[in-house]
Amino acid sequence: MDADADPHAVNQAPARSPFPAQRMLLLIAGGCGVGALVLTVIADVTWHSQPTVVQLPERLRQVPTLPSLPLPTDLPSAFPTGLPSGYPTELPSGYPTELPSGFPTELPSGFPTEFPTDFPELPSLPDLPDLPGDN
Amino acid sequence: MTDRPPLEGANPRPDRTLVHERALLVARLAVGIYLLELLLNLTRPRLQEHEPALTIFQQLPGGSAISQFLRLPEAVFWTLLVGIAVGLVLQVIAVRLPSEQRSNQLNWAILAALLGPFGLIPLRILVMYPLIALACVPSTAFALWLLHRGQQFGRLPVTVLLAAFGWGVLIVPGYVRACSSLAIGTITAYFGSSGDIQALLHRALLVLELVIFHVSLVSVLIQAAGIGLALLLFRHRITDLITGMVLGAAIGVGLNFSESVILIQLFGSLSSFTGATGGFEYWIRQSVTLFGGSLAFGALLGAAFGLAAQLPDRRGRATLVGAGMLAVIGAMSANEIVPGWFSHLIDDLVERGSVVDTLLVSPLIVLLVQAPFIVLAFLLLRSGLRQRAGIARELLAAEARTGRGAITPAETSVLGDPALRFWATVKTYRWLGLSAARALRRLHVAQFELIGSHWPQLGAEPSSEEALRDKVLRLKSAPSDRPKEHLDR
Repeated sequence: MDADADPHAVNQAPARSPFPAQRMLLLIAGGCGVGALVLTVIADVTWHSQPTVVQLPERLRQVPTLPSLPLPTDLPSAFPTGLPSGYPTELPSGYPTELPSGFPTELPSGFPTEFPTDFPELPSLPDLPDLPGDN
Repeated sequence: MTDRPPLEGANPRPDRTLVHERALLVARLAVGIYLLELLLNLTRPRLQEHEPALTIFQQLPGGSAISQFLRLPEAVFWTLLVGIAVGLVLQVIAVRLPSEQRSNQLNWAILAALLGPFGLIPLRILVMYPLIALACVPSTAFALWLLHRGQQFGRLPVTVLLAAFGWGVLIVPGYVRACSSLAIGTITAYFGSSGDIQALLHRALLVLELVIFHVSLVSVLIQAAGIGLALLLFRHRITDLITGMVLGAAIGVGLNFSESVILIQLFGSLSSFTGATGGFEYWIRQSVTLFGGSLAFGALLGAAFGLAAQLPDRRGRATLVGAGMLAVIGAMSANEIVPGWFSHLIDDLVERGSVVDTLLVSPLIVLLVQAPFIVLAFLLLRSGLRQRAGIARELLAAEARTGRGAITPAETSVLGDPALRFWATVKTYRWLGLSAARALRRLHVAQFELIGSHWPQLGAEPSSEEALRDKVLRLKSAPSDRPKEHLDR
């Protein structure tokens, strides 16, 4: 008798190895499980390495573009490029950096969770006045 | 040579006290894993000042349904503490009881005290969304009915099937939710919260993946505990691959039922963001994957346990159970992630939400991931049924050879062939009426109970065998209640 055998096993000690086909199927299932885990990791790496794109509703993406304006491309020579000396660059000590305890972290009850479907059409932009220098 | 165990040399069943001790050990292990999750959560790094000791104690504002739902793991925690205390008291009483029978009855109460608190979460969900639960009842009942009717040469009692289903409805999702709510806090704490928005997003995805793997692992462990408890506590005449598969599948049906209710509600509320509606979720979970998904995964896990229960050596049993668990952990993890990835890959080819997508493409994508496991479960089922049929025919012939009259040589061919047996019942109904068909059905059940007492896995119990033989003979000698119109012909 096998020294490792459990005396309370339901079926005891056949000399040959029983159920070879069923055991093989279960081992294949275990292999499929490993394969599925590998596929999951591949899916994760491939899918989530792509930048996340926020999909706006179609109607919001159809906002009319503004006409191009002749903006100056060079800054005036005397335009300040840095902060004035003495301007604080860090938060004063003791300034809170975290949300106070009890600050709500969820939307209040009754807050709409769905985007309105009857979103109003955006009004058309008024004609821009002629800029100086235009004909 | 047939692929089945030898008919001789079976051992007597273990005594009830040992069985109860083992069942309690399974329950204690389940509670131990939960306590380990608590310990890990308690010792996590703190990201903020004034964090509560356990993340499940985070105060959530408002009294909305979702807030109440998120507070449930805390309720489970306190109830479980009470359950453990009650279990300890009952354990002390059980040890001091002189009567073994009473002690065993108390063990059932200890099991309920230790595992019952996990049922709070799904129970609350079912109460919150009764109409969705009601909508899932017909398909779930159909799956359970098929599981019951599909067993040949000896069925599990309906009560056992329903107990396994109840484990899947209440304990599995409740236990998984209780553990995963702790794991989310623990994993998040170890990954920190600093960095820019891209780093935060990347970490959130990583946390999500680890949580999905954790959920799969814990779900498989608690399903395995359910199958193990059912095999230990509800010893039946036949314990084989089919027994395990049916138990596992019933747990899977229960899990699918509970998951469907919450996910149909969730996707219904968030359809503007996710793109999937509650109706689509119902279609996928209660129609397309009703016999795949949780049911097929549970059947695979049960097959591993049913087969392992027949093996003599511990190493062989551990290998099979390990293979079964690995299969289901992989299947469940992939089932959560890979269909979404496939759907993303073909995003430009099919219009999302179109008729073709809803009825064909999305179901195919979901089934594609589950297909290897469904096929393997089917092959195991076929193999298990063939094995049962071989043993049953041999036992029928052996009983007929005794000449005691419970099973005659002429009956063996009908009893040994499910199709012929069904046909005999139908013909009896047509010729002799419903009551005669029912009487024949009762006789067949009793005859299978008799040969079940010889089944190689459990060993014969002479007193039980004689009682079963007497029952068959009584049914055979019962006066026939043929309808008058037939007698008048």
